[in-house]
Amino acid sequence: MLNKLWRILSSHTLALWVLISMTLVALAAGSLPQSARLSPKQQAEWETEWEATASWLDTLGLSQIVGSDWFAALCIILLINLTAGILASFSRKLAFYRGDLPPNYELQHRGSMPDVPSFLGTPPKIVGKQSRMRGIPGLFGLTLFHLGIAVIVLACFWRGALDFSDFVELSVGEVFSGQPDKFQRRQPPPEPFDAVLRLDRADIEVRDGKYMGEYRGHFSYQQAGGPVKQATVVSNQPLRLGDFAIYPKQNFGHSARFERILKDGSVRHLYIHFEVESEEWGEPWRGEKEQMIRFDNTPLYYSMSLSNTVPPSFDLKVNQDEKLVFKGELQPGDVADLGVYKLRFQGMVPWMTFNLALDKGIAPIFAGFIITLLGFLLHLLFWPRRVEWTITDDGWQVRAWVRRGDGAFDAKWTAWCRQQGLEPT
Amino acid sequence: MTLFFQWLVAAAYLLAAGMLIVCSCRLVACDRRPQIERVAVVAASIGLLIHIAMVVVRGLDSGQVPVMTRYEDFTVDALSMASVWLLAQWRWPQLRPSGVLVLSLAAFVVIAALSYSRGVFPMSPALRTNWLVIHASLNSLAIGFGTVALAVGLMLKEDRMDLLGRFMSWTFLFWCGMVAAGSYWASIAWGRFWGWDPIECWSLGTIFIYAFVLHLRMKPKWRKGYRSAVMGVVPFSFMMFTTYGLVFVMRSVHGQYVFQ
Repeated sequence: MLNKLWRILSSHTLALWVLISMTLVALAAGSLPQSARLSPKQQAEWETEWEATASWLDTLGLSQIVGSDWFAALCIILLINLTAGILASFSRKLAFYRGDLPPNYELQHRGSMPDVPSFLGTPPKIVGKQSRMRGIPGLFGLTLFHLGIAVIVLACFWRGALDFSDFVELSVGEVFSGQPDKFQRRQPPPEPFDAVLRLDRADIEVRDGKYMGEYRGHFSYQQAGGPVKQATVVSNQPLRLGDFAIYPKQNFGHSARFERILKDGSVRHLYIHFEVESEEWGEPWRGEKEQMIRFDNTPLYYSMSLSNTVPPSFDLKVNQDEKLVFKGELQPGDVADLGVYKLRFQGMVPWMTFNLALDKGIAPIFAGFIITLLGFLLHLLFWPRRVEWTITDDGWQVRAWVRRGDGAFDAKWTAWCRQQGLEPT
Repeated sequence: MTLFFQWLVAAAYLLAAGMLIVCSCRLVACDRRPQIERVAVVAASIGLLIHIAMVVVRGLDSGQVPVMTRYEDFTVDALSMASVWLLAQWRWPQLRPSGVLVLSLAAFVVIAALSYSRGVFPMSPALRTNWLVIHASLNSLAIGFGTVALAVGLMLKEDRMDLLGRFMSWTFLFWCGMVAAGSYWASIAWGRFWGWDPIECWSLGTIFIYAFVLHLRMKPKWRKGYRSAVMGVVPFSFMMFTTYGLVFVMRSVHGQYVFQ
């Protein structure tokens, strides 16, 4: 029973079924709308326009394939098949190495030694046995390749539990210490973000009205109560903060900066972000926005527009319970009294988007990639060949073990046998 | 001027392919075939030298490795096809007839490149990395080896089926390398090594289909004849669709680069 189970789990046929299933899954995930890939707006559009199809895909678990249980089950089958396959193939490779398997080629002859070409090594000079093994790295190349895949799958499972990645919009001068309301999904990371950082300067340059020239964020940061340091975050050079890392994302705009003066006299900063298209960056611009801003359970409905004139101007209309609280144009230094608090307009600063991601678990994945590629490269570059000569008193025997598909050996063997007037076996 | 050289390269490849057709269809006497094949190789080599020079000049002109726009992508992919074939036929002269398909395809891709803008565009910050060069070069190498594998398979010669497997294996290696390099690049540029973007999913699908076919080839009946040839065409089609076709039908993060 156990033997049968082992044969099924390590079988080549199971590998073929898993591979074709994984192909279909990858194509479905790449072709069907996936909720993990769509923005909330795109998701809503898809569900409205294709209501029946969307619900049908959802029922079948095809709207988020990679997060589904059946995909996880398929990955587990892949992992089991890989592990069983690695163990089974390793023992076969070991048998090949030791010469315990039946040889692929064998020739026996009574009489004197023929001329031996170099691909068959050197036979012993006296009666006895001598073997030579070449291309050993190639023997274990595929085992390494499969091991690498198993490492990747395992690391993905491990990382899946830790995975965290979310976008944070930061204005110049703004301080960020991992507060959940700054994240786009408003969910805190699974591990505490033990750092404080402030965006000191933003370098955003758009060339010819559409090409991103520079996109850099200059930060001051303090990690785990340590010294304050400076760093620049630029594409392909993330800022690593413990297990977290900050990456730039090319969404940016202008931010209206306010001081919110509460009734008890305390002051808090408020940044209102306006997204700017690349073509409009550096050009005369005016952005409009409507937003509900809640303070102490009091919702205020802001209707705003910001212009990048010199000095910048901010048109503000605020309603509370459909009652107009404030309407007017603000310039830097002006104060708007909204009743529950006052707002002092301080001016306009750029804001940038960053991706904060938990970087844990990434190293084993890339280690898996390296093992995989290295293993396959060894498999392609080295052709394992084991040749064993036995000299007896009245003749000789040569046996060879080679990899299936070693056409070069086959051709040389056949040619040599014919040259000796012997029938190749 | 670029236009002239582009057509010249295509003409050289087509001339070589034409000569190889003459040999393959046995339109000339047996004893003259090796001589004509050698002339075809010389024509293809001249085309390749002009092709390399064209890519180098383009790189010097733009001040960046020319693998960013679709025009550059096509041009480098065609270069890879021709180079891999020339190297393959040098190592295994019996593969020369496969040049009919490989060189014709290379010429077609060189001409197809002209339908895209030949302008030079500034690279966005995320593209200013050597990982782009590694990622794109591995993709081109995979296409080069894949095209030769396809042609070897379609020759339907029993004695060359092992070479089909070998070329498919190299294609698989380069494609996996391309995905791994892209994944690492994504991890340092965006903070995620895998985003299930359509092109990423199809690339993974291509890996699985190549793995499937390579596993299938371990069964003797799938190593020979038309089955083997068909199994060479399927993963190649996946690879070509993922590289060239997918961005036309799906929105992908890769699309914003290739259509610049």
